[in-house]
Formats: sequence, structure tokens, C-alpha cells
Amino acid sequence: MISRRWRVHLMYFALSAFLAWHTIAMLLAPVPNNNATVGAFRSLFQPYLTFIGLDNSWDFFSPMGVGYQFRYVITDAVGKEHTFVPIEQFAWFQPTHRWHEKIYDQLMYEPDIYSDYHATFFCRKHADLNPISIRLLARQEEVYWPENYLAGKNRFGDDYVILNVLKQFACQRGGQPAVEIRGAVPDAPPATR
Amino acid sequence: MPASATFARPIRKMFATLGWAWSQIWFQSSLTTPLELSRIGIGALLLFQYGLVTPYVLEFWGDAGWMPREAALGYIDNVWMQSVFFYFTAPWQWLVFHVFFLLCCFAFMVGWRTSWVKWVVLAGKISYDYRNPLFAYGADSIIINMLFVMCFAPIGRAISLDRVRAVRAAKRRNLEAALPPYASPWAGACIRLIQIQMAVLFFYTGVKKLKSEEWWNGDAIWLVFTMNDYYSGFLVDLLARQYWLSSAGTYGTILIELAFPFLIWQRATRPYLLAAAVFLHLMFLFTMQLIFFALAMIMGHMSFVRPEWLTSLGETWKRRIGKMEMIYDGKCGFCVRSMAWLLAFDGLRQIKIRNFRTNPSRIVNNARLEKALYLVLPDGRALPGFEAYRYIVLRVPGLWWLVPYFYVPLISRLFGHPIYNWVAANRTRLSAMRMSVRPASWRARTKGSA
Repeated sequence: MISRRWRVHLMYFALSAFLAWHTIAMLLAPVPNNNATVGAFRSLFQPYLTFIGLDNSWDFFSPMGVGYQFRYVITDAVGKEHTFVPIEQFAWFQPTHRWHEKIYDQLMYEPDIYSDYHATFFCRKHADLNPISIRLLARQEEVYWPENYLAGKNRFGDDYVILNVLKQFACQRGGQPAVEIRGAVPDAPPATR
Repeated sequence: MPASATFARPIRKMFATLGWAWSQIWFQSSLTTPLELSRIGIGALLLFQYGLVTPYVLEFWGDAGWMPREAALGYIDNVWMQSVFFYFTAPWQWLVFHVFFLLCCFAFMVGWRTSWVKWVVLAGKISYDYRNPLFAYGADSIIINMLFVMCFAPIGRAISLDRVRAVRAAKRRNLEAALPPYASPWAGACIRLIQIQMAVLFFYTGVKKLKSEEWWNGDAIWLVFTMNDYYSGFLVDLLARQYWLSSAGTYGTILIELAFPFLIWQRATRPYLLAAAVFLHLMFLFTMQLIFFALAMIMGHMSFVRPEWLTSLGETWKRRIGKMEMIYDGKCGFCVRSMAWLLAFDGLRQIKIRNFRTNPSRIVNNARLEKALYLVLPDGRALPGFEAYRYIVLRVPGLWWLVPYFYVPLISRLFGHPIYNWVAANRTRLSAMRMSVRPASWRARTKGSA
């Protein structure tokens, strides 16, 4: 039987060890891994950092990068094009706005992985348009300066955005999965609607 | 004196000093109120976030959604990235878990059964993040870090239903009983862990911004508001005409982020740094609409709120409202139990009580008190029954959740008054009813002891 005094000491030691361990983990998590000493330490802490989701580099808005917006164009049976910007369906204060922003970012970043699902999804969603094909697009924003604004240029005009076609799919009848149209990348429509 | 003793003494002294410093940094006894504020905020934030995405559960985290299990597993590079969703096979399991998670978030927010609910919330949050790793970003990590520390912390000891239950249990034995506020060195250590996390986060965020050209050049704020995600016509117009505002905002952000980890610890500078950090995140909230991120950060900042600030805020509130005396019937079991409930929510101890059977009031006579309880105000006014409750729910913060029942005109007139009058008229019968529903074994025990 351990005496009460020793139990208190033991508890104090255990809690102190946890505090020290967790503090080192917090300090270590955002440190770049390219230093050998840091790398060695990190490998010791990595399971802990990963398991509790502490592995973050805390680099909010650095670097800023360029803005992208996902949109798609449906071509209907009579050849008319309909452009949609899906993120605009979600008001900024809805939590779904944030989640969908992430989804479309990822779709633009890795179209090979995620475009099949989305092409089928959007073809089904617009079944009433009798869609023939769908083009998935990424609108890339170029840098826009105060002098451009003061000169009356539109921030989202053709001079300051570039439309990139990610993929094109043929929509199938009856909600069947859309089939990718490979080969020549089609022209992008005008950047502004 | 032997040489060993000559060396041993300063070494022992050095260790003693180190031990003292360690204890001063980590193990200072503290109330749990800063942690409780974070708990309430995080619980509400998770409930709001995940509650509103309920229609998308299967689309976002399900196997038939846009991130199939195989795709998600592609992002998993070690066994430590675990999610309960990897073990589900049928859609109903996702939905049941989601509902359970939301209930736990609610329980976490109100502090009900906090000791185990917090673990479910942590496991659930990690599970959502690892099932679809592309969703998680900085704000999710902040929330998980705080949840993790809270799992080890003694939370639920203040501003919670657990506290209400504990106080009520004490009041059931003696209405005058007062449960002292919970404080412990371990609560202080857990608060310190969250504080260090916030300081580390600010430090790295600030340092990494310095590596980016747009932050060095003072253009970052302009660039943010010209991006489609954060575009604001009003701000772009303002910044284009007064570009110095963009530079001031850019450098001001870096200044706050770099000053925070160093100046937040001092007693004199903490209020200013805390106010600056909260202001910064309120700007993120209102100008960039980053609700989740801004509120998660503000909940982290709550760890720097000194418990004595909250105590003094409570005292100021108490002084402003003035003393209130509730006069009740000590012979009526139902009334005593109701008082125990009511007083359990009075965390600031604003309400004094008087049993008119043993301590008659000079302001309200016994004949009136036979019919209803009364609340005596500092100016000598006495409010009966329903009016008494109506008065206190607005003035006792722990009872604010009852305000709609007493102040929404239709509800209070149609239901409030009649229900109160019926209960007051039947309180003797209600007391007897309570006795009769007690288990037989309890009645036998009571009889035996009598």
C-alpha cells in the first residue's frame, strides 16, 4: 500500500509529465519538418499529434494565394448553355456554405478524383433541362489593384479572371453516371455571366 | 562540513526553486469558469454547425457521398487517424451516430453529465474530421485541441446543469446550504494548457505571415477583400480610396499576432491584448464572414479571462439588481422542493429566502402567504406568485432560459398564469402525490426510521 504522501507525489509527477509532454507537442506541431533534429522529435510525437488532431501548421492566410471559384455549364438538348455557380445557393451564414466551399475547392484541385461524382450529381439535379453535356470550370482570379478599381475596371471582368475547363462529361438519361468526354478541351465560355 | 553536503545544499535549493516555479506556472488553484465559458461556446458552435448539416450527413461523410471510403482512406497515412465512420456499414448507423453526437453537443453546452459527454464530443469531432479530411482546417484543430484538454479538465463544475444538480441536492437537505465554488490546481493547469495553445498559435501565425510578400508589403487586407470568397463592394471601394487602411490593417494584424504570445501573460497588458485579439476575430467574423473560425478563436481566448473578472462582473450585476427575498411556505413539501430547484439556478446567490412558518415577514402577512409565495424587492414592493417568478427570471442569469415562458405575451397569459394558479391552489395535493409515488422500499425505510 502506497502512503498518501507518496500517492500525492506520484500524482503530481504524472500530471506534470502529461503537461510537459502536451506542451512540447503543441510547440512542435507547427515547426517545419525539414530539420533533422526536429524530424526526430516529431517522429516521437507524431502518433500523439495525429491521434488527437493537433497536427496543424497554423499558417492562416499565409501565403494568401489566388482565389478560385467553381462553376459549371450545362448544355441542354437545343444547344443552349446554362451557367451555374453552386456556392451561391448557400448563404454565407449557413454552415453548409463552408463545407461546400471546401468541396468545390477540392474538386478544382483534384478533378480526376472528384469530377465523376459531381458531374453525375449536377446532371441529375438539372434533369428538367434535359442536359446533354456538362463542363466543370474553375474561375481563377487575377490580382486586382486599387488603381484598377479607380479606373472603373470590373473586379470580375474578363481582364481579371481566367476560366479553366476542368473536365467535360456527357450527361446520361435516367440518372445514369455521366461519362467523361476525353480529347480536345472545349473553349471556356465568357468569364462573366 | 563534508564536501558532499556543501554541493548538495545548493543543488537541493535549485531543485526546490525549480519545483516552486513549476507549481507557480501550472498548479495554481483556479475556478473553472474560463473553461466553462469555452465549453458553452464550443458546444453551441458544434451544435449549430453539425445540426444544420444534418441533411447532408450521408453526402459529406457517407460511403455513397462525394468522398467514398476508398478515397478517404487515400488520405489516411497512419493507423492513428481513426474515425468511427470507417466501421459503419449501413446508412442508418451514420444517422443514429449523428443524432447521438448532436445530443451530446447539446448536453456538453448545457453541462449535463459533462464528465462522459465531453469524451463523446471529442471522439465524434475527430471522427467527422478524419472521415472527410478535406473538410478540416485550422478552426477544427483549435476546437479539437480545446476539447482534448477539456476532457482531462474538471469541467461542468460551474455554469452547468451538473452544478445545478449538485446545488439542488445540497438544498434538498437544507435550503440555506451553500455549495462553495469549485476550484482546483488541476483546473488551473488545464486553463494554462489552452492558454499556451493560443499563444503558440498566434506566434506561428504571425511568424508565417512575415514570410509572405503580401503581408510584408501591407497589401494583404486589400487582397483578401478582392477575393471572391470575401469580396465586399463597400470595403473594396473604401480601401481603394484610402489605401493606408489596408496597410494599417495588415500591419496591425501582424502586430497583434506577434505581441499576443509575449504580452498576454502580464497582468497589466492582458486586458489590452485580449481585447485586441477578440476585436481581430470579430473583424474576421463581420467582414470576412468566417463565423466558425472567429467564434472558435474567441472561445480559445476565453481561457485568458481571469475568474476574478467574472466574479466582479457577477458582483456588479448583483449590486445593480439589488436584494430579493422570496417568502415561501416551509410546511409545503412541494414548495420546498420548488425552492431548491429555483435556488440551484441562482449561481450568484441573489435570492434570499424566508420560511414564513418559522420566520414571519413584516411586509407580507401570513394570510396572503398561505395563498402564494411572495417576492419582496429592495424598495419594499411585494410581488405574488407568477409575478414574482416573472420578475426574477429576468434578473437571475441562471434563469434566463425561462424568459420566453414568462415574457412572450401569448404564452405567459394563456399558459403561465393558469398553470401557476393551479399549482399554487393544489400544492398540498402535489406534495402528497410526490410522497405516494416514492418506492415501497423507501416508504418502508422511512417508516422504520420513524
